[in-house]
Amino acid sequence: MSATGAPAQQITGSNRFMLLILLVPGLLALMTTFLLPMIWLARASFSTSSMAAFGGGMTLEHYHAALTDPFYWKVAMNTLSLGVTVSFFAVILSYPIALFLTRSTSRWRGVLTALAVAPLLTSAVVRTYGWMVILGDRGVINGTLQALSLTTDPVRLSNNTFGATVALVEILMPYSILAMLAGFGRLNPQLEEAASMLGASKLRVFWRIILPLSLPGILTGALLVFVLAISAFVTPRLMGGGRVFVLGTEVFQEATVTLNWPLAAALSVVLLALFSSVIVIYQRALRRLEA
Amino acid sequence: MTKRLSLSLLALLAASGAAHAQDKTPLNVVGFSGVFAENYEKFIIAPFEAAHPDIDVIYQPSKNSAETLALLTLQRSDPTVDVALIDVSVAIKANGEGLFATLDEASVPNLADQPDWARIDGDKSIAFSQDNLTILYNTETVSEPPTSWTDLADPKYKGKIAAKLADTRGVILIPILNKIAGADYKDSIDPAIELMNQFAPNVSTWEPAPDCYAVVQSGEVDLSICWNGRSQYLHDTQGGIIGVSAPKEGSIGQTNTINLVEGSAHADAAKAFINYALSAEAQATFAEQSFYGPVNSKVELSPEIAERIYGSPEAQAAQMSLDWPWIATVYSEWIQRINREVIAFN
Repeated sequence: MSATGAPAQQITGSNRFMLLILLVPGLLALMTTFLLPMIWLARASFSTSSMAAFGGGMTLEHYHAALTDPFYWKVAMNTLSLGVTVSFFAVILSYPIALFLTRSTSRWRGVLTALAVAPLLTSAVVRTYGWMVILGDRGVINGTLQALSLTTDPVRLSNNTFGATVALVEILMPYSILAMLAGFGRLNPQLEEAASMLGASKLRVFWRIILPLSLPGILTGALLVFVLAISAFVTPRLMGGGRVFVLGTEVFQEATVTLNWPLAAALSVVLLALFSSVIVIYQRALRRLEA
Repeated sequence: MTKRLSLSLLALLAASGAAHAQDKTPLNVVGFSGVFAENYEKFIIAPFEAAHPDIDVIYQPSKNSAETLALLTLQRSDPTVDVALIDVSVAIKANGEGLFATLDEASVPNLADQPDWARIDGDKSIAFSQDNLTILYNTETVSEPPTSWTDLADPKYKGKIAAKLADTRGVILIPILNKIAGADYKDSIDPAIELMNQFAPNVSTWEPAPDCYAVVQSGEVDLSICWNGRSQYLHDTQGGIIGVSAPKEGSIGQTNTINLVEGSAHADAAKAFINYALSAEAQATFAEQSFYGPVNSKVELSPEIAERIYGSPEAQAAQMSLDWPWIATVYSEWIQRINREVIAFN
């Protein structure tokens, strides 16, 4: 904050005007592509018309329907638990990679970093299909197990929550690696050297020096993966075989199959409200940790 | 010189434009995409345009009926679409919003040949074809094709069935299963839910990707519950790996309706088109080419075509139709029950 606060105070009147002018295109783009649709969505969730048309009366009935139905609470819990599980495993798996990339002095470091985030070049849908090939009943893993006569019937690895979790973890790992690389700025090899010289074991250096200093990066990575996981819709739908009910898939179902647009809008607003509060609480905790 | 040239060019353009406007009325039709669109353009639109040289039909394929409904809702004050082809359940929803105009026998004489159930919401939506729900099987892995809906519960298919039922497919399967259980779908659907739960443990996926046909073609599953028209087309074009087995207890068709958009600027041309699309001639051709069941009561199908659309003579005799406006009132409730009482537990 202080780093950006100081120059900001030096901005004079005309500079501020220039700044405003420069911000206008971006703000306008945000208005039309983000803010207006959000307002429209919020208005649609109160609509009395089943087509969510503007005009007409306002009603709270869709919120009543969404919030009093135990099924949607279960769906919200599913969403939350999928988000937590996916962030946990994505962070566990990304941490060593990110740590290695940060500390490496190899001249291949740039190439390795690029490799780590390269999966982002492929769409999540394509990678989901990849996981369907790997985890399917006739997929690579089941094929190998059966060829080795370890199993006779296929083990169900996809078309359930397990498959959706595995695919989401892999698909979201590059994001957590990127977030961690950006958040590991405080890691300093000299501190590690000092600790070792004072007789700390490698494990102790990790626990007392590396882990605390990399914690902000870990937590940012976890938050990013959590947000992307709870709003995911394609992967849970395709990998879950219809058995994974999360808020994203339910909104899609209400919007395109049963055509209850106001309910779909209300569920979206609930999703938004529920998880923005989670994020706010999380960031408060994060800030306290950093302070 | 250049000025004169550009002037004469301008005059020429204006003249051709005027002539164009005089002899061609554009008619915008929005409908289903894929093979349906190909067949519809070839076997319905082309003959219609040949008979009406003054009308230029422009067909816009839409991804699904929900998208068409969204388009019509957005354009309601100034529609660019004249005729919409959409699923019956979506059409009824649109009628609730007053998006379609009422047709009458004076301007659409072929209405008289449509059965009562097909003239929906006081002639605002007219059913013109029905695509039966059927069972697909992989001819390489299934030696004895299923003959009954109850065969789905056979333990030999454990983990070998793809069934997308949280949409119209499930809504159509419920009355079929209820009939097998000897119950009326308007009383209670508990018997159908119970029968679904008997085959549910065999289902490997409720969300086949990319669709219910490809998973059979690839051998990922043995059986799949899908629509007949596309299945027959894939059977003919994909080397016969996909087999179609219409169960003996009969089936029900996904019903497609034709609708005149309220406020259409070309209502007369639209009515002429709708009249042609509802004619026995057009429906017979479309049935023969796409294996969608016709609705017009004057259509006579050859036994071979009838068998490919409805199955054996026994299945043909058992073919059902639904009270769609009534179904529309329970549509989302039924899907909710399938989701919560069948899919969530299996």
